Amino acid sequence: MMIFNKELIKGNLTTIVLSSLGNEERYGYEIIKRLDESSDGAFKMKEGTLYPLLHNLEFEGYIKSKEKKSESGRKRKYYQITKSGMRLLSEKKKEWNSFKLLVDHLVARREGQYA
Amino acid sequence: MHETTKEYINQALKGVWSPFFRRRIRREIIDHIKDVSLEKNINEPTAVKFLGEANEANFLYQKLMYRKLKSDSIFYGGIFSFLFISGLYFTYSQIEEYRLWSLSKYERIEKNYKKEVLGINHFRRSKEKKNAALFLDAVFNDKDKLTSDNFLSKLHEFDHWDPAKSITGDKREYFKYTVISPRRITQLAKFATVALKKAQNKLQARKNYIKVAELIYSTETMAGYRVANNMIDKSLFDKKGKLQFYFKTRANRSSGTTWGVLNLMPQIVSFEKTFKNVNYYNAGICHHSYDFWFSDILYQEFTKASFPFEKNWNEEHQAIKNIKNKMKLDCRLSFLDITSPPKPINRKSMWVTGPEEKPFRFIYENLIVAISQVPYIRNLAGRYLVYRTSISIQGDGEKIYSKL
Repeated sequence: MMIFNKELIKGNLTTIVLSSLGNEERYGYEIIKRLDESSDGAFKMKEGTLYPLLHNLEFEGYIKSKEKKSESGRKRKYYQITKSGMRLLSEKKKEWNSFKLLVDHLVARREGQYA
Repeated sequence: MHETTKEYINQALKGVWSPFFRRRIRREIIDHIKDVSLEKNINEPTAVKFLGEANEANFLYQKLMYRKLKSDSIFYGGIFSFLFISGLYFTYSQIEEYRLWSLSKYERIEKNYKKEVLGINHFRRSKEKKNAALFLDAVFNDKDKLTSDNFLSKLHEFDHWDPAKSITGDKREYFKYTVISPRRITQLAKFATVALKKAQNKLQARKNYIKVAELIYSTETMAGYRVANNMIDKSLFDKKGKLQFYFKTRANRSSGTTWGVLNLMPQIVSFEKTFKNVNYYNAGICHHSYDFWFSDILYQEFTKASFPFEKNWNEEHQAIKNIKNKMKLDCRLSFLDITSPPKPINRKSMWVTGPEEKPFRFIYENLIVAISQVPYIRNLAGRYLVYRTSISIQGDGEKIYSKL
């Protein structure tokens, strides 16, 4: 399994976490589980760093949290993306796609040169 | 909680001193560990391992806390500055309002006021030949409760009430002046008030009511003054608000300097101006003396100013003392001979409720007594008390006595 560069992940954590929230309310561990499942285990996030990130996003107003009773009856904090979070996510996605295209283009040209 | 969890939390919270933030983080971590151990069916120490390095989380939490505190301080600092500037502006405008007050306008109101109220001679001094004390002994039981309900008209036979001549009744020290229990005074006042409300013959009931007020006034006790004043106030207000305009105007005027943050001298100067009006001064002298005497006891608490940067109130205190001493000479009442107020002050030595005053005043007075003994905060309490005195003297507490 490929291990990604730490810096690469760090630069895109906000986009990744906001994407994993989607339009639903999720609690902390659920976000981690979802990231793990959708990357087939390739994306491993240190769980301890998720909460500071969530705090930060909440402070910026990109997500909001509320306490709710879970199915098991325990009280949990659920996070939900806000409108401004949606806007940020869409911008980040655009930015990522353009960046990806640029990198693809640059890498392909390089490969052509050496071919 | 397992030791590993405790260790992780301690490490993650190192240097995070904001209590609210700490509480939130602690709860989050514990919840997460519970979720992981339940869903993965693993034990607590293993679940803690999934959290990664505590130092890494600690660094992020600290960074976040300082960012949040910075934004909070901008927010609350902004609100505080706004309130502070508004407060200064308000104080300044209040003082200006006081300065701009036209004295001639005040004198015109004063003239109209006196014309109205001095015509009502409620408390004419009698020759004091017939004391109601023994008669009232008979209508009160041992607990100072009224036993008879048909005695009001008989009170007209008496011209004064000297409670010291009573044989029965609970006597107590009241500002070092032995008087009959204020309970009798308030009971009698309440009785007359209820009788006035229920009476078919309003004219007679009103005469009885005024007579009771007059007898209570003649007790020459602070309780008596307080209650009689209250009764007469109510009686005047019943006259379709005829005098309310004057009361209101005066109350407005005195509120001009109510919350002066800078000093209280304008307030005291306004007292002095008011008392320079000889007729007015004479008309209310004993009542004003009572107010000043009462207030001065409290002022002694809050004018101590023994802590660093506490405002020194000597100037105000001296001015009040001068007014008080003059009044002491002019009012013949025996309670003004007292030279030392009771210590420590408490609500019992402070206040007697009038017939229609609500009992919660006791809690309020207790609070004022307590606050007046706390350094720094007593300054605020003191300002409020001066305000109270001013309302009493210049506002709706202005009493309507004819010349003694």
